[in-house]
Amino acid sequence: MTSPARSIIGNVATGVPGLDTVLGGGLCEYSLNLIAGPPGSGKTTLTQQILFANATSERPALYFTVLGEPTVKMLRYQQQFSFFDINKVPDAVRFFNLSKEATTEDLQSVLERIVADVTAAEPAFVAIDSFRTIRGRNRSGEEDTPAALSEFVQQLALQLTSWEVTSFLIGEYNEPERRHPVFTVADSILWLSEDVDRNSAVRKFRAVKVRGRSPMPGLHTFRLTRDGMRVFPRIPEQHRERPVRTERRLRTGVPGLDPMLDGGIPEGDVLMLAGPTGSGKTTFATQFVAEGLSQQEPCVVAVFEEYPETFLSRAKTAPVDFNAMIQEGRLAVIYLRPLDLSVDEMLEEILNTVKRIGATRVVIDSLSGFEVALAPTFRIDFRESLYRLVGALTATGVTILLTAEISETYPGGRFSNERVAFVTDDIIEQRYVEMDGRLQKVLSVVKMRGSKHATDFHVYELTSSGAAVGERLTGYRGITTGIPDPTGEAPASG
Amino acid sequence: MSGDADQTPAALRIARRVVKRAAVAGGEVTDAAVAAALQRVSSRAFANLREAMGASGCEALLTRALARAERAHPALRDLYREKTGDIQVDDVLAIIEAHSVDAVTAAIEALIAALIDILSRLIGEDMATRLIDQEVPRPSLGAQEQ
Repeated sequence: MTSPARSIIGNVATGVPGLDTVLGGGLCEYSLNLIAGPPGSGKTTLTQQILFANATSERPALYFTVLGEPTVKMLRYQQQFSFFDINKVPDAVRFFNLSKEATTEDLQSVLERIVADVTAAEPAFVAIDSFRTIRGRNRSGEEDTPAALSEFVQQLALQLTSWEVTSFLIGEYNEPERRHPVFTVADSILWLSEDVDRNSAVRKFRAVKVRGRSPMPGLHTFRLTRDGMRVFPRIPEQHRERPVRTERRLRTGVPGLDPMLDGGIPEGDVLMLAGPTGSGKTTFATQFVAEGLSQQEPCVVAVFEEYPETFLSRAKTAPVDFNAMIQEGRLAVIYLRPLDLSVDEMLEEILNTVKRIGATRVVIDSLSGFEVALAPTFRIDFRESLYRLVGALTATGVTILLTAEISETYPGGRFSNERVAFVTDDIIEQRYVEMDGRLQKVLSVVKMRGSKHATDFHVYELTSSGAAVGERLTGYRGITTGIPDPTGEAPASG
Repeated sequence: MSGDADQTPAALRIARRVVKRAAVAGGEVTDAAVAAALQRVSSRAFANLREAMGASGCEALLTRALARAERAHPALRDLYREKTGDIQVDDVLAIIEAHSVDAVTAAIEALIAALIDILSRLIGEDMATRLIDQEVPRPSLGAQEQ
């Protein structure tokens, strides 16, 4: 006995980068979708982006404007988006204005007008903007009752589905208005909002419900640019298992450092290089990149504290020509300095670049810059943001070097309280110590997960040709205090 | 025509093309046939605008376009009926008899050109032309096009 065949729901890809991932694949064909949110949240832009991505002269879209933004203004502003293809107007996308019907006629007349136009054009898509302003008046000129509104919504949904139309109702709704009948009838509810915190505003998207699909839960940030809307799906749902660690070690490019790390940084590890200001963190990171490039390993550098030009200018002393490597597509320097980024947005940029050039080494310079670049709303959850960022990056198998600025006044054991140490496999700490009346730079390997490593302090120097780790520092005690005392024993050579 | 200096050459060129196409489609060259063609082309343009912009949006644009075109084409004052928001064929025929076919044709061309001009500055010439000159099924406005 064969089981009955189930109806397969066709998919409508939205054409909005990142949105189909959040929706669980896309929108269901012939569905009634409510796009809700406050004024200026991007409802019209989202809808038109979907329509222009899908509408053709054979499968046209009808865009009904009601009250609110006058059509002429909407066309004026929406034309500025790259997705707005004028060649599609009016054969593929037609604009109608229902303001007269919505203000002077009853709901039945509004419905009849929509149905008449749908019948004539046989569209594949219909949008009504703003649906919330449709109230209708009865024959006596009084506003229609909620029951009449419910009936109207039901009839509209029925008619549009019968005509095999995928429809979009756009409305400026807020949470308490969820009792509006359209919320019950809608197959999907896509909610746009904005979080304002101090000087930062972060746009957020939520798929409240999507019948027939399994959307990603939670809030997802999005941006409106000249190209329209771009959604950045939250990271955890994209997270994959971290690849099994190999035995391979990556050379750091810093003379004298690899022996302290038992040969180098284990491939796929996250190494944090922590030190006070001026200790040479970026110099170490630059040498790590140069070493990778000389080993034919493409690298990505995400700079937060300086412009890429500055970074590249400082890298001119490296044995590899970074500018030439960029031209060859083996090095990418990403500038991520804006102060209103979401961690997902940052991650997408870095991940896309890693994928594009096939990078195996990633430098994030620095964590403090990363934190500052985040919108305040994400800084509150900095640990979570960093965890998600590092988790998603390590899942790709890249080896990551993070630089972190730490306070020199902090006493020994500082990492037990550090907010970021938990995401790292390996930690190298740089510090200043006062010896013989001058500041000396020393470093130590604080931890290497699952690997042996040097446990003593080594001096290092920054010269015009880069950083080099010197001999082991012996004959002193209390190095972690910053002012070590000679033990009186003869210093041992490194 | 000196008064057409109010309209850009591009808008005037588009308007003339639209009107000419309607006249050619009519075939005949009698005054009645030209009147019908002019009525058809203007009604279609207004209906297109009304559909996209709404009645009040269309009215606002038409009022301004008339104000601009009337200076050089006084016949437009009699042609456009505020009450029905349209141009009627009987009126076109009457005005043709009072003026001339050329004068009325030029007046309607100037009105459409003024509309394209105004809209072009708001939404671009391409979009303006597409909105005014579209040929699409329109059941809800069918009565007006009869």
